[in-house]
Parts: sequence; C-alpha cells; structure tokens
Amino acid sequence: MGEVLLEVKDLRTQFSTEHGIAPAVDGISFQLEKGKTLGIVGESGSGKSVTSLSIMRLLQEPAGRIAGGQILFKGEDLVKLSEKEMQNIRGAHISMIFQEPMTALNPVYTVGEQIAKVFMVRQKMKKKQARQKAIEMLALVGIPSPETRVDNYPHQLSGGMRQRVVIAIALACNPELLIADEPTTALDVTIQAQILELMKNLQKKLKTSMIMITHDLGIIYEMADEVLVMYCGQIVESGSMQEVFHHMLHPYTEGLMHSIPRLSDEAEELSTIEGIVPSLYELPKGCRFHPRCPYARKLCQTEEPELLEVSPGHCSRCHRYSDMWKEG
Amino acid sequence: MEQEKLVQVKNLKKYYPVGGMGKKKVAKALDGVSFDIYAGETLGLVGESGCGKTTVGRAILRLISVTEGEIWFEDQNITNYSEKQMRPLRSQMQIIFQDPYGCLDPRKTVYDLIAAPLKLHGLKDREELRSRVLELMEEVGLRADYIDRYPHEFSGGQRQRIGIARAIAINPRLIVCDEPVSALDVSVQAQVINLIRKLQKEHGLTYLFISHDLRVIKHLCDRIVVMYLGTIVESGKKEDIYRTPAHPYTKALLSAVPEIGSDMGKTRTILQGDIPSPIDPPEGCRFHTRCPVATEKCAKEIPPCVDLGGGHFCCCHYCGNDSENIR
Ligand SMILES: Nc1ncnc2c1ncn2[C@@H]1O[C@H](COP(=O)(O)OP(=O)(O)O)[C@@H](O)[C@H]1O
Ligand SMILES: Nc1ncnc2c1ncn2[C@@H]1O[C@H](COP(=O)(O)OP(=O)(O)O)[C@@H](O)[C@H]1O
Ligand code: SF4
Ligand code: SF4
Ligand code: SF4
Ligand SMILES: [Mg+2]
Ligand SMILES: [Mg+2]
Repeated sequence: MGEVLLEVKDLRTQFSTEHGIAPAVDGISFQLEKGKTLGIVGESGSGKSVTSLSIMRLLQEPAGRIAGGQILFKGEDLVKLSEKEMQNIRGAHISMIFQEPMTALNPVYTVGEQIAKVFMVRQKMKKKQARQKAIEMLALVGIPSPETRVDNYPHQLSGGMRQRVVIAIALACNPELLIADEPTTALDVTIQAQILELMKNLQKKLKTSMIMITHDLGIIYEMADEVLVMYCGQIVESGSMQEVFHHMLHPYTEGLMHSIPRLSDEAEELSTIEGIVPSLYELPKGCRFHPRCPYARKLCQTEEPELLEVSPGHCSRCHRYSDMWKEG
Repeated sequence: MEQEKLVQVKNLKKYYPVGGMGKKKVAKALDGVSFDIYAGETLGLVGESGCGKTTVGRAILRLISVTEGEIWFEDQNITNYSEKQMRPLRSQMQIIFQDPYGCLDPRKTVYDLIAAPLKLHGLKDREELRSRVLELMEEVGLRADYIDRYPHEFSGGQRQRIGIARAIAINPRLIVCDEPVSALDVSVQAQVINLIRKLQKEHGLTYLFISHDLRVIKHLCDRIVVMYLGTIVESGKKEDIYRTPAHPYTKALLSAVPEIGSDMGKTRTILQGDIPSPIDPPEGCRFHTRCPVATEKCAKEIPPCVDLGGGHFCCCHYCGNDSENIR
C-alpha cells in the first residue's frame, strides 16, 4: 500500500435551512494514496460537491458547517485549521477545478495576469519572470500560441480553452492534490476528450493525486483507480475501479450501471431505478435506498445498513451482505 | 412500399445577423441542410453545441423564419405559411424542450398546464377536460393526486413528464424533442427515455430527436443525421452510423464517448482545436481545421455528399468507394 495523502474520517457536513438541518454529507470515510485518482460518482444532490467543498473548507458558513469528523491531509486535520492556515493549504497544496470555468476566472484580468499572480504570491517572483512562467503553463496545458493568448481576457477564449486556463492556474503552485468537480460536464464531447486526456497526461507527468467528481460512470471508468459511489450523503459502495465495475455489490450501483444507454448495447428498453432521490429533509428510515431497491425486504425498512467490507478493499452499504440477511 | 415522408427539409439556410460596427456579418447557423423524416420513425440529430440542431427543430415547426430553402410537412410547402395558415397544422406538430422549467408557467397547476392545449383545440366541457387530463397524466406516469400542484413542486423528471403530456395531448403526428433528457440524472433519464419510446409505439408518433449524446441517440433512433457547423456531414441508418461510420468527424465523436468496459480511451482519436465560429466558417470542408486526415484539397473544395448505398450518405472527399483512400 502506498503512502496515504488524504484520509477523511467520518466526515459530517450539514446545512441549516428554513426546512431544517440537511445532512448533505453524512459520515463518509475514505483514503487517497499519493499519485492515485479517486473517482466520486453519484446523481445530483448526493453530496459530491459538498464533500469537495468541505475538504477545501469553502463551505458557505455559517449555514453550512462541518459538524464532525476529520480531514487528515498528510496527517494534519484540516478541520481544525484557521482560515489563514487554510489559505496556505489552498494556495500551495490542494487546488480545485469547478464545472464552470468562469467561477474560477476573473473577467477583468488577462489569463496571463491570473496565472502569473500565483507565481508572484507563492514564489515571490518578479512580474516579468512570472509572466514567462504563465506562458510556460499555458503551453503545458496545450493552449496554442501561448505568447499571444497570455494577453487574452477570459471572454476571448472558448469554453474548452478557459477550462485549460483553470487547470493551468490550479497546477501553477504544483499542488499535491487536485480536486476536479465535474470539470468537463459543461463541455462538448470532443473537447471533454481533450481535457480528460490533458488531465491524465499532466497527472502522470506531475504525479499529482486527484479526486475526480462526476455523474458519468464512463469518465470514472477511464480516470479512476479507486471509486466511491454516493447516495444521499453516504458512501454506498467503495473499492478499486476494477472491483466496482466488474463485481459491483450495491443495488444502487447496479441500477446506475444499467440505466445508462451504451454504444455497445442493443437493448430496446433501459432498466431504470424506480422513483427519485429522496429529499434530505425526509430521508427514508432504515436503508436510504429501500423505496427504490428491487431487493428490499422488511429489514431494510427499519435497520440502517453499515458499510461492510465484503471482499478485501471492496465495501457495500447493504444488508444483503450481512448475516441478518442470510438468517432471513 | 414507399415510406411516407412526413417532413422534408430542402437546402435549408438560416443566417443570423450579428452585431458588428458598420460591417454586416452573419452567423451561418444552417448552411444548406437537407433531409427527410419518415412517418413513424425516430430521426436523431446529433452534433456538438452550436452546430445548428435547435435551429433545425425550430425552423421545421416554423417558430423561426429561414433565410433560404424549403420545409415541407405532409404534402404542403409550409416555408412561407402565415401564422393563420399554420394554425390547422399546429396541432400536428409539437415540441419538448430540454428545460421543462422554461416552458411551464409557474403560476399554473398541472391541470391548467395539460388542459391548455386541449382547450385551444376546442375541448370545453369541464368534466371531459378533467378526465382527459387524468388520462394523459396516467399515460406519462404522473400520479393523479398531483393534478392541482405547481411545477416548482416537481423534480426535473416529473416536469419533463408534464411537458410530454402537453405535447401528446392533441394527438400530433410529429414531436420535435430538443435535448429532452440532457438535464436529467441517469436514473431519471432512463425513465423518460423509456416513456418516449413507449408513447411512440402506442400513438404511432414520429420524432425528430435532438441530442448531443451519442449514447442516447443510439438507443432511441432509427436513422441519424450528424451535423457539424451548420451542415450535415453524415446520415444513415443507426447501424451504418454506429458500426461503419464513414466520416472522420463521426468517427471522432464516437471515439470521444467515455464508455464503461471499453479500452477506447487508450486508442482514441482526439480532435485538436475548437469548433470554429459560424461567422466566417472554414473554406472547403468545414471540418478541415480539425480533421485528422485532411489534405490540401479539403481546405479548398467543398466535399460532395457521397451515396454509400442503403441510405448512407457521407460528405467527405475521401469516403466514396471510388475515391482514393487515404487512410
Ligand atoms: N448552500 C446550501 N444550502 C442548503 N443545502 C445545500 C447547500 N449546498 C448543498 N446543499 C444540499 O446538499 C446536498 C448535496 O449537494 P451537492 O454536494 O451539491 O450534490 P452533488 O452530488 O450534486 O454535487 C443537496 O441536497 C443540496 O441541496
Ligand atoms: N438568435 C440568434 N442570434 C444569433 N445567432 C444565433 C441565434 N440563435 C442561434 N444562433 C447561432 O446559431 C448557431 C446554431 O445554434 P443552435 O441551433 O442553437 O445550435 P445547437 O442547438 O446545435 O447547439 C450557433 O452558433 C448559435 O450561436
Ligand atoms: S464569458 Fe465573458 S462576459 Fe461572461 S463572465 Fe466570462 S468574461 Fe465575463
Ligand atoms: S439494504 Fe436492502 S434496500 Fe438497501 S440496498 Fe440493500 S437490499 Fe436494497
Ligand atoms: S473532406 Fe477532408 S477535411 Fe473534410 S472530413 Fe473529409 S478528409 Fe476530413
Ligand atoms: Mg455537484
Ligand atoms: Mg440546442
């Protein structure tokens, strides 16, 4: 087993709203080894973004807060750090890429100025040298004619180019961990292919560890070493990519896999998961998935299943793998 | 037996004037698009954003005027029909949008929303209206007790069902589905796809199904038209497009899809560069700036649409049987 870079233990993040307390992330635990990619997949509202915002400590407080657990980054608990200490972590050790590149770019500065700023602040570089580094970064992320693009404003670039700039900014400080939250969801498929390829190559080159968040199982299949499947703020299945895709354990994972139309598939009817994701304010008792689960039994309506290690490193939150199930 | 052509689109052009000081410029959203839609089929229109899919859909429904070309519905050339001439045809053609929020008035209940097209169509009797609305709700899988609720109380998938109920309410022949499942989560997307398919069987509907998602298109469509920058690059039966794609763009699109269980990721052709702007699109073959196998000829000459047989067409200098093969 490689060196653990990030270990999240029983993380709980809540939002207080007019409807009550929303347990958006409800006790998740996982580890990320150095140089590896962890894929987090789940439908909208399952808690993927809140997980990443919690790690970055970018929750909108006080409505959103970490109510419990630890986020150990190289052994240090990020939950306990002050905002000032966190700023140092965010600038130099952990970077994040969002779905919409414009949330990370400032429309009134050139892309060169925005990348150069990272070098000036972090490495105390002089303006001229930082500009040179910015051009290098633009070349690294595959932007053609970086010497002229460096003076472009974000609106002069296409969506794909902007996402490349965001990647350049995120990698400028040479972070140990990159969190990418649906980085290609807003892009066209041929541009998505470019960006995923770029991220794969850069990761190899820079040995960055990555958390890749997406709703697209195909992207997880291509990018991830380890996979977490989330449902209603919890991990329902976790394991290596191979294990999760080829020996899936949880009925929700199974349902997700079968609901995607595939290029290689000729089926007439898609199998579906009945019903919809429940509201966080009215979570079902027992197993949160039971109203939609084709295998549900009486037990599932009352007892909440635990995340059980079914085979080495492969866990599932489902009674089917417990002794109670065998007993009937 | 000759299949009935429900819709014929002939050399359609749509140029949008774009603001620019002094000089008059146009965005060539559609630049000579021709295809037919046969009665009872699902024709898929696929391509990346900005290639003109929505413009085609709206032009066919006469929601926008066109610059050049013709649109035929059944045996009528409706290209220049007035709103009054269109009125009797309106009940024959409907549309479902990507964002069901956009087209559902938030102050109206489900009943109001679904009853509206029925009323327009002359149904007045309250009892009859209500029972027809309930019937439609059942067809699209909405619980009867939702009838007096408002759109904001529903999830995306349920709102899409309301939109579908409205579209089928007056028994149209054609429904243009413009990215109807693109905003939905996969589990809900699958439910709506199955519903769309079921309704086609039960009502003999004809669909123009627009999507950027090749997986969804493959699942639902009989024939497919692939667009790039305002033009058609390839069209044919589903099997032709997915098993033996001929156009370099179609091949690249297919290889770009991240697929579970496929090792495509390792051998993928990655297209370089961005989609060019429809203002001053590239000369010659519009795809030549990104085409991995382009030659000098491609930058100068517009490629012909080559008939590959069996209704499979490809617009490329090098896809014909008798043209030199460069791959
Ligand atoms: N600022 C907020 N206030 C209240 N609830 C929130 C807020 N942000 C997120 N949530 C809730 O937390 C849950 C998880 O959201 P999120 O992590 O964004 O899901 P996703 O998996 O789609 O990224 C959702 O139900 C969402 O409504
Ligand atoms: N009202 C408009 N004014 C100017 N340009 C437009 C307008 N509507 C669409 N366009 C342009 O026409 C092209 C095709 O658009 P559209 O049909 O919406 O593409 P798609 O649906 O395939 O994404 C795009 O370049 C778009 O910017
Ligand atoms: S696209 Fe242009 S206008 Fe829109 S936010 Fe970015 S820079 Fe500003
Ligand atoms: S615990 Fe029961 S309801 Fe939950 S996933 Fe397992 S079988 Fe389904
Ligand atoms: S005509 Fe030339 S540029 Fe166009 S698709 Fe064919 S090979 Fe590529
Ligand atoms: Mg999210
Ligand atoms: Mg569109």
